[in-house]
Amino acid sequence: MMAFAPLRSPDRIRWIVVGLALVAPWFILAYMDRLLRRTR
Amino acid sequence: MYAGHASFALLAKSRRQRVSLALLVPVAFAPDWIEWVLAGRTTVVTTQDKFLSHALVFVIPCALVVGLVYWLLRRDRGINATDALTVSAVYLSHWAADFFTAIKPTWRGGPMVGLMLYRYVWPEALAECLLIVVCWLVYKRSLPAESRKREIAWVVPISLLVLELASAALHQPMS
Repeated sequence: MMAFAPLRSPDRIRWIVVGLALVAPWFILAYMDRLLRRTR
Repeated sequence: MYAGHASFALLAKSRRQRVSLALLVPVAFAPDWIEWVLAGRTTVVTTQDKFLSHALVFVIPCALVVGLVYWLLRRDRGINATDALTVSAVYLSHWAADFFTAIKPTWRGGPMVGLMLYRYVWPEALAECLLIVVCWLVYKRSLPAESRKREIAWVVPISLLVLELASAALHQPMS
């Protein structure tokens, strides 16, 4: 059975960065669309 | 392809305004999300992770299931079959877009296919930037008239362009 990668390994850091790169457009577009479709 | 995937979500939103962009964006990135989750334990993306997330033989049924589940859960709120098919199409757009930028699996024992434009880092990034701008212009037309004039609306394309160019600068293309 394969062990979990160490928390501070370069691979783990890269994996976290990729996760943030996936979250970023989601958060920005969902928030901005909600903001822009809310009429004042 | 990276930020370019989000442009397909913008395009779909401009055509089907009942469908939430908060759903369309993760659907557009769904194979990358699946790959990321599968790689979570060891953090190293294996050939098996790539196959299960990006192979055509998995992408097509997943796209249909996502559209069907969305329709089943939201039909009482006015979501129709065309809206659900749009969600499926956005899911499928991931594989189609990746075909141009990378090489993707098809089926077990099948060929790896794609044009692999990632070989040309900056031309590929510029092509994605152009795609983002075009889809943003289409999306912008779907906004209420007063929102189109708001300066803050530029956050959408600028943030996507920054993310894309940062990805290219780091030479860390997404799958």
